[in-house]
Amino acid sequence: MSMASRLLEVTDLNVEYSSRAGPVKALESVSLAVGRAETIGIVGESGSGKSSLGLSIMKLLPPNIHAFSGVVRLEGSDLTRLSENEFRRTVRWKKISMVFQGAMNSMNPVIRVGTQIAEPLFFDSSLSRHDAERVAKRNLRAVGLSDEVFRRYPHELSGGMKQRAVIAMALVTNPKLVLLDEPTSALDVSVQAQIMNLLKKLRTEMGLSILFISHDLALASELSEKIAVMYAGQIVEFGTNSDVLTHPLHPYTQLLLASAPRLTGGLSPGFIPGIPPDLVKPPAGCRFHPRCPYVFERCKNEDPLELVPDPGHSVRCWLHGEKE
Amino acid sequence: MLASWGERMTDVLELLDAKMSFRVGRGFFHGTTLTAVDEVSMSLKRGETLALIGESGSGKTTLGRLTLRLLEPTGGKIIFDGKDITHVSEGKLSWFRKAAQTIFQDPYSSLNPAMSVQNILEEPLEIHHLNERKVNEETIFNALKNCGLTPQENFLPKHPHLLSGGQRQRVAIARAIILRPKYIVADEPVSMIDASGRVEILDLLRSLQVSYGISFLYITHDIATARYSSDRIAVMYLGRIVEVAPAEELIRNPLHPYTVALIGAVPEPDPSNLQRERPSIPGEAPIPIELPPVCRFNLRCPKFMKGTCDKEDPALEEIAPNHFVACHLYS
Repeated sequence: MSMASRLLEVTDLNVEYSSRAGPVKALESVSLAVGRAETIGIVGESGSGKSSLGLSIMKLLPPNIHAFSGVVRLEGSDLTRLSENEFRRTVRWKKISMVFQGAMNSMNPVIRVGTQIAEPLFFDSSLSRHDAERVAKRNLRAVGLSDEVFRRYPHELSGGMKQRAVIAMALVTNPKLVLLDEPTSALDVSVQAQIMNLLKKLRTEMGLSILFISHDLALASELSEKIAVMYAGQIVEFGTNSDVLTHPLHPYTQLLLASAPRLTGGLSPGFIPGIPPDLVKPPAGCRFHPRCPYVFERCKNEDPLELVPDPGHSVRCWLHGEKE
Repeated sequence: MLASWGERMTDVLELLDAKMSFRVGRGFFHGTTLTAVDEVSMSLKRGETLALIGESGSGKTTLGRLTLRLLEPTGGKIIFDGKDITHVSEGKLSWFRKAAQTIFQDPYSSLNPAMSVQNILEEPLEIHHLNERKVNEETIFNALKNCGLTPQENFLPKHPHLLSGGQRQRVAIARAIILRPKYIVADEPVSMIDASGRVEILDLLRSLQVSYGISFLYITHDIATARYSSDRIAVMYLGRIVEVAPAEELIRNPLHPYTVALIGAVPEPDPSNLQRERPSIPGEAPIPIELPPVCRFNLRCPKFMKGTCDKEDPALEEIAPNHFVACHLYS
């Protein structure tokens, strides 16, 4: 990817939370680039760091940060150097928006839906109240809701409608990048399908870049041109959608794909024995080695480097070390 | 019809036109009646797992609660082990409370944080006056072993917050099996477990079923895990069972348009997903308040037939061997 086409560039991001047991290594040397109008899926289980990555980009990490390092560039400028004030004024909800996990249930119950959608516009002095309402209604229509929803309260909407409203909220300022953290996790499968189809349509129409955070590889594959698989705070595999789904290189990705019961094919999914590591004291060497069926001596001592066995397809695993 | 689902004699549980209506006391629908489960008949054989799938609001959890007599039905009958328990008072249900257990969705809230694993497992034994100390120790040890929580002495003194989600759910399962029940309702038992560990928990339930001959009602919104872990699947929509069939038959040959749509809407990990829209059903299920006696799916159905589907309520009928469907397309 050429420099010009990069919208967001995360370089060597490290985040540690403080806890009573000691610092929790939530993210370790995470690097990632998102191109213009590109969607990247961030897939991992709970505790893998996928939400911390989103919150780092939004500068919304909780206060108990023990250590933070790394660079987050948006269109070339380093966001980590901006003060909270500057970031809020120029970036958050302006250039980057986020739909949080469970956001549809966090809407303010006593404020009309339309007001909540138009809220970020009210703070932008260039727009009159009337214009803000017009923009909000245009966004409601874009997500498949009628103008009349503007006057409704959240409890009057169904789950699917609320999720559409929350997406309208994230898009109302016309951001360049939207972070979606499990945007369909509370929805039934038929409504989830509607929302995913809506996101596909919006992405094309608005030329949006999306970071799609999910625990579900199948779901991520619907929207993401590229997929990053996270495990224990690291990106362990990165590649195009079809590379990751059809030729997964990391044993974790392979096992994750094989462990979900499916509606087609054989009836014998497996599971990954053991549990994800304690991030206060992560295992030495590869973080997956205690659960890995292919573990050998090097895995226990040396943290795998990011290896690139195929162009554009990288993996942190010593099994692919011979091509180094 | 019920007899053809399986020999009555081997049924652990039988519902006959069970109905559960609630008066709506507050809000916009004040004074109306919400029927969460509407005249549902079903049976569960000994050692069988029946998956009950449906979207939120379909009534699957209410149906599960009815079968546990946590709710007293407003119509129909509940037969457990040949005995009518429809309106039996709580005081006379203690034998049933021992025989029917439940596993909840959220192992983070279903275990008392102030109790150790040992206390959690002792409690059901004490409630049912099975407090022979020596015997109990053995029972608890065995339950932990059967649920893969070994070495047992490491787990006994622990409190839930020291356990992972999967381990907590295993404790909840150990608590459910410790009284050697005949019937367990598992309401979304793996939906809060990480994907890589789900199959392990489902396998555990299966192995307990085989060793103890337990019948399971597996309530879930996840059709793929239902396929994996059950003998039969029943699909619920707006308080009704609209289709029941052996699991593989239902997945491969769904008949009800709602079942077809549900199965079609599940994403598979496939790179070509990127290039196509996912099949979806328009709209969402309405709230089951005073529904007219017509097909409940007619407003969203792609195969809607005017004059039939909006006029008559289809009955659940056997279309192929052991394959029941409630749809005018087949009657």
